Amino acid sequence: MSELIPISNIIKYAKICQYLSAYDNQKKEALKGSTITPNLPRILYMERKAVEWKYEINPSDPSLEAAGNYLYSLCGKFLSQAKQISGSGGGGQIIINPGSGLPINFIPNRLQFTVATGSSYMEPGDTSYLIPDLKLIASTLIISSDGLILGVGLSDRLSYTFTQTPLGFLITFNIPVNQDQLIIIDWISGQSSGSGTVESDKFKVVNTYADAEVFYNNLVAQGATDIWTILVISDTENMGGKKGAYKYVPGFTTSLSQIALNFND
Amino acid sequence: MFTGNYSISLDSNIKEFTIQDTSDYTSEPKAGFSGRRIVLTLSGGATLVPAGTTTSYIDWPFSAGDSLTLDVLDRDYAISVKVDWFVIAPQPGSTYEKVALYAFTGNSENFYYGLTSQQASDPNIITDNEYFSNKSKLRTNIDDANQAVLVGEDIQSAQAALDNAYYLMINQNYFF
Repeated sequence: MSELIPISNIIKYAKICQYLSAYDNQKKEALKGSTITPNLPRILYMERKAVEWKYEINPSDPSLEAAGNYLYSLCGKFLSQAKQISGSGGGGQIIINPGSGLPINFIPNRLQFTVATGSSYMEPGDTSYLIPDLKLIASTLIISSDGLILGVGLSDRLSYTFTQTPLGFLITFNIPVNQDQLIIIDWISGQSSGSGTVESDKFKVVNTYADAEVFYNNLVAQGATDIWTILVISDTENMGGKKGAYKYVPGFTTSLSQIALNFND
Repeated sequence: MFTGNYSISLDSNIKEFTIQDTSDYTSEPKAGFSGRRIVLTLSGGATLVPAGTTTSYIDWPFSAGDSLTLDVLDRDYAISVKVDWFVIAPQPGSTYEKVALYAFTGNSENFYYGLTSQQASDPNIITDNEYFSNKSKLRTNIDDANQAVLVGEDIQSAQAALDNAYYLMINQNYFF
């Protein structure tokens, strides 16, 4: 699954980013500090007005895609928050899960890493990366490379597509990554975008189990059918034969042997 | 009771705009009118008509329909748009004239958008202080023209702002 961001959404985000950047500048200057982007609110206004005008008179104009992508890239670090504000109805609105009646929290996430040989994230020549978050809201995903925000599904420059898998969101770049390339991935968790159903944000079970079998049987006894993320702190060698912290790769499992296999360090 | 009314919409062709007769002819049917006329007056008092028109006004007969596209915007103007409805037997309380001000900024906006398109392929140009300053002036003049008409109903100030924008555009080699 991949998506192109509609120009109307980019215009909406740019309007929000304009005041977010203005507020950010004021915060930085309040204590006689400084900002390296004093003109950003004005630039966002100026470029948004241009795109907005063209979109109003001819929404199918072929030049709008490039201009829209340019405007989108200008939003920079404020995009994630702008998407959050626009997506939650203007800020501060609490979304209720109609199934459980419980409020949902939207959790902003940021992952930053440098491509390097031996890296646990991406090595030179890799073209994909799995975000192990099944509750990632697809429309909030922003990926940048060396400070440049990437477009989706483009062929004439570095871009990416993404696919939901049982283990998370698989990001696939159209060009292999290089040594020392800085990758920053922003997204918001809170809702399962694949099925369209609303999941509660997170749950926490704190308990002590003697080994993986007891742990698994206990989960089954509690009626668990789906496991998202489990962090196990083990001081014995019963968890796959290793001590320390174990992270369970999210996904559905049906057997003890599978849950044991899915543990890794 | 009849109240003459119209609306104006912009086309993707920035040299044109379309005027639409939105009057309600229920109380006074079109058969009771002898015609319509459009007068486009500029800030200096001159009138604007399409090429080939020999009068200072534009005839808008009912046979031409309720929508008329006018090709008059060779550049941006602030225009006082007046439409007269010529009625055979005027009725008390009816209004047969409507005048409104418009700032037509399509040419400036189109040029301005062209700069943004150019930036999409050359993003670093926005860091050029002179370029940014002049583009900001152009934006300000376009906004000024719209505000002068919408808020101040001031055709002179609107045209002055459009003239400033026009100056930046015709001297683009110096400013951009």
